[in-house]
Amino acid sequence: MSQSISPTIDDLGQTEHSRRTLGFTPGKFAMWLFIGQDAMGFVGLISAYIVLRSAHPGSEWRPTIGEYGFEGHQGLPALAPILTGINTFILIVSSFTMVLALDAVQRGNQAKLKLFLGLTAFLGATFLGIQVVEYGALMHEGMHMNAHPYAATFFLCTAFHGAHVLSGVIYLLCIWVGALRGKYSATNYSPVELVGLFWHFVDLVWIILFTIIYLF
Amino acid sequence: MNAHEHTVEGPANDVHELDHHLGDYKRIIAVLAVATLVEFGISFLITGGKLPLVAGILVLVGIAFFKAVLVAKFFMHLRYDPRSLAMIAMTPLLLASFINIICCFDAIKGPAI
Repeated sequence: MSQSISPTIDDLGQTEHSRRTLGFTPGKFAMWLFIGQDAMGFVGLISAYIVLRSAHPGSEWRPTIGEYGFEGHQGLPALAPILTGINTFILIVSSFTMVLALDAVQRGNQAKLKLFLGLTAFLGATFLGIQVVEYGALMHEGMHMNAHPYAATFFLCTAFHGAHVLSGVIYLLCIWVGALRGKYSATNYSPVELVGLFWHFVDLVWIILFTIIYLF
Repeated sequence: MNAHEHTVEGPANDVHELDHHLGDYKRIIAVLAVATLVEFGISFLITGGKLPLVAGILVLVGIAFFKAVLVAKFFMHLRYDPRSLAMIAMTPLLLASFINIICCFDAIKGPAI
């Protein structure tokens, strides 16, 4: 006969016991700590961007033909906010597919879990592909890391974020393979929740970076 | 008695709660999409000279932070998680905001070096 008493850590395991007693798992706690320190890294780069941009007011920030020591050169190209805006939308939609994947696993729907995890990884890879195309076009027009602080801060901030997207896509693919093997269920979905946290963080940082770098 | 004979009380996931979260996700993605379009509109107003630069920047940064808060609260589940977890998330962000505000003084007065 079963007894209705509070389950112990031995009954549930560390993850589920923590979820029920604290409201979050040890993995979630660790991921938030990681996100906190990672956010500070982005803040350092964004702060450098603000300081350097303030030191180059007006057209000094993006010198064109004949300006600010660029005589004889073609100047630096303008960024393409429309293309990057589409990319931003892709990343936002990937955050939505990620929460749909988490919702699916919490309901025990394996088919939707696999579909939405795969879709999230695909959208992340698409974001990276568009970013590579954008980099190629900018470099073709003479924008390199050592050209000007405008170029250096642009590449540093966006490439640091791009490295996060790349690692996020790899992380998503690892979890997707686990989902294909049926490792996750309605009572065992912590890894899906953690990859989701990381992915949303990547999306959140891009929302800030896109506004600061591309829109003004 | 074997430990596995204990009855674990309550379902693993409350379906009504999941339905509630799913409704939130759909509303948030719609708000994020509209907010991004509004940002574009403001950006074009700035470049077209129809909106002062400082006012435009303030509005754009405000919308960006609004979008970031929505992602953190709903997609990252801070709204549903215990307050202690939100405190862990907020502490570095408060420090980060402090650093950025100091940097904004540079943007107004020019860098010290």
